[in-house]
Amino acid sequence: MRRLLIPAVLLGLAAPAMASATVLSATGTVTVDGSVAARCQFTTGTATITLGELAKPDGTFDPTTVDGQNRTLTGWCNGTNSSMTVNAQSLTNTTAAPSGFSNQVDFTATALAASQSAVDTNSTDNTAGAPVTVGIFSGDIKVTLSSSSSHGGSTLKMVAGAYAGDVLVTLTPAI
Amino acid sequence: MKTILLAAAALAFSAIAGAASAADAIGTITLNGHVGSACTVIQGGSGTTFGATFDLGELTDGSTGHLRADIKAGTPISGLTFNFTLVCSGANEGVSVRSTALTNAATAPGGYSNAVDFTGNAHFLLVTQPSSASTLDVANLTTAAAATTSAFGAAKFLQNVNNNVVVTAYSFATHGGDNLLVAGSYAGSIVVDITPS
Repeated sequence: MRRLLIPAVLLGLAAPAMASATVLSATGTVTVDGSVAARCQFTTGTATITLGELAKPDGTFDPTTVDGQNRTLTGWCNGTNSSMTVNAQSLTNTTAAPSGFSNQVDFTATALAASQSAVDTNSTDNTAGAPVTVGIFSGDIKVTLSSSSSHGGSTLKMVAGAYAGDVLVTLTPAI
Repeated sequence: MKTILLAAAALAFSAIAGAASAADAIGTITLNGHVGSACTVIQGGSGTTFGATFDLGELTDGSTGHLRADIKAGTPISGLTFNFTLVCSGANEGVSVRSTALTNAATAPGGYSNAVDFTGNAHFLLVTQPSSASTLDVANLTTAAAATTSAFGAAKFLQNVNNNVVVTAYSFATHGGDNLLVAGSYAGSIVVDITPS
């Protein structure tokens, strides 16, 4: 009777041993990181507006020669907080202007990109207007001139000669 | 005296023989054992988990805003090959590889992308009896709908050598076409599962 019990006991030990057999999977994870720096870039960054004759027949400045003039630059920014400013710089003539004359045309410049307009209403201070956030965009930057006037007063006559001015559009990248 | 002793010994043996033949019960001791079907990480991790991290740095070429050219190649650049050593006790283990694109949380307007696709590959060194070596490559594109699954094959074991599992990443491409990439941080992954059969 005692010998008959021995196989039964061993069988009982064998059963838990079989149950403990495990299947262990291995999992590997390779993480690949990267980054993209915030950047702005013009694809068409220059344009020229030839205004032609600036004066009326009476010699005073003709605003219609400047107001409404526009050119389209193209560019892009890839950062969510990218911004744009515009800096209008008056048209000037190097010839000195005696009393009753003007050698400068002031104006307002507006740059429109990503449905946001940056404006500079003071072309005499060589300072950009307030920045606007353009975010991530790629496309046109339309620059328009407006509110032009002869520096010193509308009754002044314009000094003869070549006039040159600038509109500077600055795109500043930011995330 | 000597004769008497021999007779006594013979009698004793006879008694034992008689007892054996009279009993029908036989005790049997069975010894069982097993080797669990398991994979264990030796190098590149611990337990059943292995892994690595690599920073690609700037993803664009720095001038055009588009994905840089070197990582577009069909072979991994330096640093994108990851060696691991595992021990798997069974043959014909199942394998699953899933690659997930590098993505940036910022939304991407038209002309931009916030994701970079690539191919992740797991390369296994295998052996069959007695010592016939072979390899298995399981690749998964991030654009695939699901993981790529495979198996070592019948009677094929993972070789008992160092660096028997090699994970690589290559063929990076801007998701959606050669768009500009949105600025910010990007992260992706390759997950390799080895399941004992």
